[in-house]
Amino acid sequence: MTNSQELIATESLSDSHCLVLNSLLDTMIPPDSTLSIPGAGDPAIVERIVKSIRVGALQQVSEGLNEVEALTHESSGLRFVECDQAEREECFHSYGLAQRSFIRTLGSIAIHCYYTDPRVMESLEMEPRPPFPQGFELEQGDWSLLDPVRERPKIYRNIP
Amino acid sequence: MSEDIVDVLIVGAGASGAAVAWSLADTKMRIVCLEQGGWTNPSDYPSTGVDWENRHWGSFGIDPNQRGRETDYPINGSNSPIAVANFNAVGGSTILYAGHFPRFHPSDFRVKSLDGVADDWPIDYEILEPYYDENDRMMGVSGLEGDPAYPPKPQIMPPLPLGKSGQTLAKGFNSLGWHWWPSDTAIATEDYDGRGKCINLGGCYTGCAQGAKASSDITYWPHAIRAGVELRTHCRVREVTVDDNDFATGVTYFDENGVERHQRAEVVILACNGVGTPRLLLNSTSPRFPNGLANRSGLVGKNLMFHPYALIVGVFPDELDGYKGPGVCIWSQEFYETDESRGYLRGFTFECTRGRGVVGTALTGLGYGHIPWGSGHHAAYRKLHNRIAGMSAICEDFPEEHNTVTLDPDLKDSNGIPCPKIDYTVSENSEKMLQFAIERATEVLKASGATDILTECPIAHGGWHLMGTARMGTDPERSVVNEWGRCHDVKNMFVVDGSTFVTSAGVNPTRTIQALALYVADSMKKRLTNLFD
Repeated sequence: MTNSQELIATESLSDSHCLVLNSLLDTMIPPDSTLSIPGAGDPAIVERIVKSIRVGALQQVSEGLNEVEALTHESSGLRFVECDQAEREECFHSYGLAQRSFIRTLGSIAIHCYYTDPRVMESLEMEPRPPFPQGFELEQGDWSLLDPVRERPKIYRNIP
Repeated sequence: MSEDIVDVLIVGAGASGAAVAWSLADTKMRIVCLEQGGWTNPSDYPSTGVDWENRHWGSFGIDPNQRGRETDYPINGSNSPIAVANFNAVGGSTILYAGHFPRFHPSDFRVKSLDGVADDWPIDYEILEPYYDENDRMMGVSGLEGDPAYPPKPQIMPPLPLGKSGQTLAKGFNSLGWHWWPSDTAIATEDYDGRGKCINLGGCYTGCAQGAKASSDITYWPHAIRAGVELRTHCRVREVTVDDNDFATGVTYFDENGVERHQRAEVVILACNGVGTPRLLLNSTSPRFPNGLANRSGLVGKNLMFHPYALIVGVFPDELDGYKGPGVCIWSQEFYETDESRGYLRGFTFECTRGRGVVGTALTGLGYGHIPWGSGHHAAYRKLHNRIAGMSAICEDFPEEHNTVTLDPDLKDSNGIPCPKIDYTVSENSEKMLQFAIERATEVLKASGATDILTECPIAHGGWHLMGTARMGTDPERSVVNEWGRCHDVKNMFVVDGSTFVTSAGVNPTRTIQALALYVADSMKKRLTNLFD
């Protein structure tokens, strides 16, 4: 079991659901050692994702995780968490999971949590901080680009 | 419970309520404003957190139905392809607007005369011009003099930087010989009136923690309150009451504790914008106004205009500004005025946007199939990171009576007040204009170096501009308010918000809404001795 497959203790999902969830998230956004970034199944990221799932969507996600488990078992005889990345991706794509509503819900939450993780932000050469209060620098740009526009006659209409 | 009579009662503390309150304050009349929302605390704005993009979809979201704050009221938008966007607070929707701040053009007030469509306004650019100037000073407008798309207007602060995105897009416009200009913005580029200058937080549409963006809670309201205006927050008005002589007597409202009260007033001013104002009027029925107050024309709630928007963005090979800086950048009005050879009447503005945050980039990539789930995710994401820029086309919408705000028979807010229902269709003229805009935007984005083009049309959550539902005019049978904002049917009641718009122009309305509010206030002050004649 890798780090990202460790159990995340939550009050909202069962232990078995959490295991499938971690694997599923790592399937959707896998870790990348060359970029030194975790997958979305990283424990710290999963913890934020689980906290972000609204109560109303929890059942939808739980049912979706059951479905993933059932489909995998039916096709390979394995549990989803027992498959390697390639096998999990094969399962994800062959069953069209990306089109399922629970993946759309989960995927949106995962994106929000993943791309605000400090490790991910740093890999994108971003400072892992809020915009305020430091703000950002923006270059002025080349204002001489306006010269041809300045030379144009007015383009608004006169009113009789 | 009834309270002491006040001289002027304003309903709504947003863009127009703030402006009219400030302008009237110098009369020394007793002025009270009731606002259903509260004050926002800039330290709560999303840009104070790393997860600012996520929070934009929560308590600072633009959709009142999703946001669901206690201060919001639900809106039934099931029969409209465009959802209403608003915010209920001191400052109103200026809390969340982007700060894109164009004026109308002279032609926008004369579309019937010039193009044979819709109606002319009973006022013109020349009448509003001094109020535009006054509003520009109060809000603090940044921009550059000399735009050939406009009559001369004063520059108060320098424009926002072009940045990499603006520069890239400007080169594209230049290569086609098309107009562009740095956008006028309600964003301070210098310290202004106690507000700090813009420090490029990005996410202006989630609230400006820096205070550089001119939301009316930090521009007009501090001045109005110092001048003696009383602002009561968390007070939701249920109806305007009238007497047997068709004069407004005040309003019935629920205070912050949910207690029903009646505030008497000599003059009532509505500043709830294009959905809130007709909702309040339609909820204010009485034997003399069985179809809603000031609605003898039958036009209250009709002629709703939104501005259909198309979003057109490109993917660029090099990094642009991305998440840094205000979304507002440059605009183009190359296709603003009517050219019948295009197959439609009137026109649109291209509002260029610098880029988007990391979350927005990833969701855009996934939504358009440019980023997969799985092993190709990271490489695909990195091809989009800080590389998306483009524009939205804001198209002039025409007044059509079948586009309406009515009262939903079932939907109620937390005080039990009936809520609005929107019925709206995008017109054939708008459809043609949107299509033309997408084709031209694609052309200029490719000329700027974009490889892939992504579009959304109309922008489904783009109902930011709410206009036309209590229109202005000289004929009481064809309009709700007269040429200076007074209701034809109720001579001590005024409307100062976007609902008075006769036509929509092809630009954002807030600068004109506020100029109109100042103009109405000035008209009232000039007629104080015979205001109700």
